[in-house]
Amino acid sequence: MTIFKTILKIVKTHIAAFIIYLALPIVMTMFYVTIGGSQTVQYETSQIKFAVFDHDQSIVSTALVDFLEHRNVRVELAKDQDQIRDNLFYNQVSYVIEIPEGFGDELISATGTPVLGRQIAPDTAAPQAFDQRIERFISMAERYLDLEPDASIESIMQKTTETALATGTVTLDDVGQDKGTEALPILFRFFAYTILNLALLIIAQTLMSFRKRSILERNLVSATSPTTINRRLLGSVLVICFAAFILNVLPVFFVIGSTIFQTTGLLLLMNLFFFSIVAISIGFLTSTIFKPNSGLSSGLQVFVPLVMCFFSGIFVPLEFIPEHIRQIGSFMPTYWYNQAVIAIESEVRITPELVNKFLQYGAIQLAFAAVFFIAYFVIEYRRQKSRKIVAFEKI
Amino acid sequence: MFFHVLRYRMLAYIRDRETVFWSLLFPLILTSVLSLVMSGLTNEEIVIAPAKAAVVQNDHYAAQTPLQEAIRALNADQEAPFEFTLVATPEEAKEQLIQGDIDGYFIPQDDYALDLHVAKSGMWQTMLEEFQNTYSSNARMIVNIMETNPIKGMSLLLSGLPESRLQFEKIDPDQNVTNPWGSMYFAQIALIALYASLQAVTEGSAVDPSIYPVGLRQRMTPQHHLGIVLSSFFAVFFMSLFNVGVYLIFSQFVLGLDFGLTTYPLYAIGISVAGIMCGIALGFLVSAWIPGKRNRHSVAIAISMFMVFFAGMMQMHVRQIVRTFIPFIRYINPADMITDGFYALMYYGDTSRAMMNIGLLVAFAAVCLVFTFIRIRRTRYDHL
Repeated sequence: MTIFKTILKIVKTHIAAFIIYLALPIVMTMFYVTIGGSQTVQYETSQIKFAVFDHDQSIVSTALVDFLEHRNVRVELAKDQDQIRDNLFYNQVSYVIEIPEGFGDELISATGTPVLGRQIAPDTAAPQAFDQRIERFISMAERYLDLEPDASIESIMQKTTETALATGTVTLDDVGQDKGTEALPILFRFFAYTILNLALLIIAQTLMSFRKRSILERNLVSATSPTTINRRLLGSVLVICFAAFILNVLPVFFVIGSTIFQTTGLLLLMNLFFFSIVAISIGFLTSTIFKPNSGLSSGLQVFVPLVMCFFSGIFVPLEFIPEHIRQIGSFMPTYWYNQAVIAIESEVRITPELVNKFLQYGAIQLAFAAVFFIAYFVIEYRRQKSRKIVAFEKI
Repeated sequence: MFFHVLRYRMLAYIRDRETVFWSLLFPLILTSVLSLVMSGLTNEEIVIAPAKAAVVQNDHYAAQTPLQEAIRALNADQEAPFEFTLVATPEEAKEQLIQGDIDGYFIPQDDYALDLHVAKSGMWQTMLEEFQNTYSSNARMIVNIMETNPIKGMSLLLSGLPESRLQFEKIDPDQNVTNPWGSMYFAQIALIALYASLQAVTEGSAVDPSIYPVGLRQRMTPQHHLGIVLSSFFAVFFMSLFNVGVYLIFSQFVLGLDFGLTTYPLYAIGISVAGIMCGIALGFLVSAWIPGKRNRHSVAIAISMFMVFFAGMMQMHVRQIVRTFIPFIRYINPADMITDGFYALMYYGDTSRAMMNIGLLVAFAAVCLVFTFIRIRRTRYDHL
């Protein structure tokens, strides 16, 4: 119990970092809920946020804007260049249209060229679909104008809108897929970072504190044998790691409830459990590599998870990462954790092939853990032997 | 004496390995890793994968020549946003959907209608829905035209719909966002500049005789207190300038990230220098008003981290959310001013916005220094 309390004290000295890594999953879970983790069983169109500056105010421009407002979200923006730029850059708006004065007249005249001002958000696919919608509407208006040159512009626009709004049936097929778990892999992918940091924070910091010369020497002369101390130390560290794991996934249980108990959720939980074992092994190994009280060690402890997660596609989608970086990433356990998440993400339904693939990735992660544990025990065994000799020499 | 103290304060800075790691090496290594990983994320290199769909070849499909033509044309176009495969039965299409080979499948119906089947909602499914709507509405239009003017309708059916006269024009031709992730690097410069506040806190404590023995010795020297503070200020300033300089040169010329050193060198240097001054002024302000060396460091770290978080270093969109809901924050957050300065320069070539940010940074530094001066100018000690 004394050792357990001491470890809690060590964790308390890093309470700020501890709280951050426990708060991150809560933030991510909230984010998950906002991006569509609800248990929807109906098909939903991805709506595009757009803003319009209509200087024409004609029947044509009004009809176009009304058509675009259908199944899209119109956002009001002030006519301020900085505000427009910022909203587009940060994806608050995907598309800004400026309808110039005389746009309607240009469309009505058979030889005119209607020109639309347009600015799109960088780095998104949404504007492509929006372009198509605008072109479809204008193209139809042109055809109806061509067909009925004497008809009133109101009737032409009404006909155009009715035709352009013609939609087909979209059916969400029941292919045995889990419901409401589409965004779950994104959430679990990020957990690799928090679990790794927590493991390093708890294990590496604790073991390094216990490796300080003064504490080691005190422990050597205590009535409790070094083996018992080590056993209690190991047990206490694992209990706190397990508590951290539970605290990490608890927000998910609270927010999404029974959705997590579908096959996808359970597989993702199992994958995270495999990775937690790897994270613990990394925590043990780093505690032997870094020197206690070294300012550099805290820097590297921040840095190691960042590099592993970046190289493995935890923060940036793997398909955007250059091939040579991906090859380096494949030597890291985070890469195989992510591969299991990707496998679950890309399949519509859980199949035996997917489960096989998933177990294969889990086995690779456990192999990494075994290697790290063996390396830790070898280094620690040698250190323990040399340490005793030093202690006796001192006596 | 001024240069003597300056020299030794700089030496003390260089010998503090932990400070050198966090203020110089950490940003360099982090940026190198980020740029390696994100080198494939610039706009020119991103290829958006097409939406994949299967089309069931039933009797209605055989009767719909325009649909066949559209599919053939889109499949022939390498840059088309759609990729179609033809299957014999709906069951075969559903199997492909289950395997994840396609995003959805179409079953042609009579009257030129198309039924779309998907397994989930998403961007690719919306694109397929857009194709379905375009096809259905065009088909309905041709049917309408056939009813009103059969000759024109036939000619449209035979020759296809002519291209629209509509043209798009850029509203903002200056927009040049080739690498949207660059904004995170801009926030990193802000972090380095604000890390100068940590060293400024150390220097502020070093001249404080109640905390540090060196401060006691410095107080005994025949020099004005302000002179000692200034020498500390310049020691941190030169070292921070060196850090930012190394960071900018390394990032621009080795990693290939653009910080405007070649296109807008004066503005880039101006923002960096003003940013460092802000960081140092903030550090001196904290050391003047907060008691205890440990507390000062904690407060400086907390303020710096909050500022870079609000400037979007950890999550780019936070910056815009903060600017929308708490707009005045941008005027008291130097990290946001630094990020905004580089953002305006590099993405829009907006030198006036960059200049405004430099002005705001200088004003912020001046306010901090005034409050620091008010606090320390009448400091007296009963005994040393």
